[in-house]
Amino acid sequence: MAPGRKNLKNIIILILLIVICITVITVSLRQSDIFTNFRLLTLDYFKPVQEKTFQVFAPVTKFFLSLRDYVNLRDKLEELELENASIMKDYSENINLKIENDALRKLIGMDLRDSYQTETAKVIGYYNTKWQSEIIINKGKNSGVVEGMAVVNEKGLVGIIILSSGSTSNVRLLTDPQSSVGARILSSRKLGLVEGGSDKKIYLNYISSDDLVFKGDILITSEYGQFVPPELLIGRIKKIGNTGEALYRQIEVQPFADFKTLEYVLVIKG
Amino acid sequence: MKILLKFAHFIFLIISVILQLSFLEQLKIFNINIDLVMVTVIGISVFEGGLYGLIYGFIAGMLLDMMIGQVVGLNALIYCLAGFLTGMIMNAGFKRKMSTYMLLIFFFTEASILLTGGIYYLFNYSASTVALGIEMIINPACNIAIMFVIFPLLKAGLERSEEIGITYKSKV
Repeated sequence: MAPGRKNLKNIIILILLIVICITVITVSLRQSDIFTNFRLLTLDYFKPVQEKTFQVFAPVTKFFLSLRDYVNLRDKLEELELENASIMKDYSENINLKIENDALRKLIGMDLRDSYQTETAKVIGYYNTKWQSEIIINKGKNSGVVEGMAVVNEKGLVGIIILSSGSTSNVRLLTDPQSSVGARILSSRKLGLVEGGSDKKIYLNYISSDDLVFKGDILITSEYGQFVPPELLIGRIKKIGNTGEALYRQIEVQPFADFKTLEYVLVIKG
Repeated sequence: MKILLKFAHFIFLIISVILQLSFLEQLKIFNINIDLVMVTVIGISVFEGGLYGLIYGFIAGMLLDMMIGQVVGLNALIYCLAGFLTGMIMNAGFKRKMSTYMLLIFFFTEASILLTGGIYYLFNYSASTVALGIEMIINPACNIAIMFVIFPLLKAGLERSEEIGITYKSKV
C-alpha cells in the first residue's frame, strides 16, 4: 500500500477510536450502567490469572515492605511499647465497662451487641493513582458480597465495595478522593464525614470551628450509614489545621488500617 | 512468522496489563510509578508501526479501564494516541536509537499525566500542583528505566523473526 494511503487509513482508524473513547468517557462519567456488565465480565474473566500473578509477586512486594520496616524498626518499637503500656492499662477497665454495659442493657431491655457476619477475602489487585485508590478482592456476588458493604481488616475500616462481579469485587479505599464515610468522634460524639483527599491523605470534614477537637481523638463509623455498620474503627486525629475564619475545621486523620500492606480483608455482610 | 510475532506482542501487552494491576501498582507505595502498559504500547509502536500501536493501545487501555478505571475510556484514549503518535514520529525519520526512545517515553509520560489531570480537573476533581509536579518528575524516570528491559524484549522477537526469514530464503 502507498505510504499516503496507509497514513490516511491510520488517521481514519485513529479518529474512529478517539470518537469511541470520548463516547465511552461521556457515558462512563454519567454513571451509566451500560458498561457495568462488561466490567463485571472482564473482572470475572481475568480473576484466575490475576490471583496467580498476585501470589507470584507477593514475596517481592513483601521484600520491599520489609526493607522499609527495617529502616523504621527502632522508632516503631518505641511507639509500640508506649502503645502496649497504654492498652494494658485500659484493658482491665474495658472488661469492667463491658460487663457493666451488658448488665445495664439487659436491665433496660436493649439487645446485646451482636458480632457481624463477615466474609474473608484476599486482595488480588491494586490500583493506586492520584485520582483513584482501589483494591480488587477475590469475593463477589457468589459469596454474598454486594456494593456498599464495608471492608475492614484487623485494624479498622479499609473501604467500601463499589463494584461486585460474580467472583471479584472492587473496593474503594478511604484514601480515594471520592471516598466519603460518615464518622463520629468517639470522645465528643460529634458527627462528620471522613473523606479522601487528592494528596492521598484522609480528612474529617464538616466539624464546626466552634467544636473542641483534640489531636489523638479516635474516629468511628457513625450509625447513619446505609450499609456501613456503626462503631467500626477508622483512625485517629493527626493534625488540626488553623481554621481562621472558616466555618469548618480542617482535620487530618491517621487511619488505623495500613493500606500499603493489605493482604486479607473482611467484608461485613450484616 | 510476522503474524505469530504480532500475536506474541499482543500476549506481551495483556501480561503487561495484568502485571500493572497485580504488582506494579503496589510499588507506587515506594514512589516507584511505572506505567508498564504505556511503555509496552510505545515499544510495539516503535517496532511494529503506528497502526499496531494505535490498536493495541486502545485494547490495552480499554482492558485496564474495564478492570479498574474510574473513568472508562480514558486510558484507552491516552494509549491509542501514544501508539499512533509514536508511529508518526518514527515514520518522520527519527533515528532508531535509545536516546530517541527515551525522549518518546519522556514526552508521552508527561503528556499522559497532563491529559489525565486535565480531564479529571474538568470533571470537578481537586488537583494538587505539588503532587502533579512530583509525578511529572518521578513517572518519566521510572518509565525510562523499565524501557531498558521492555524494549530489548520486544526487539529480540523481531530480530529473531528476521534471522529465521533470511535462513528460509537462503534454503530456497
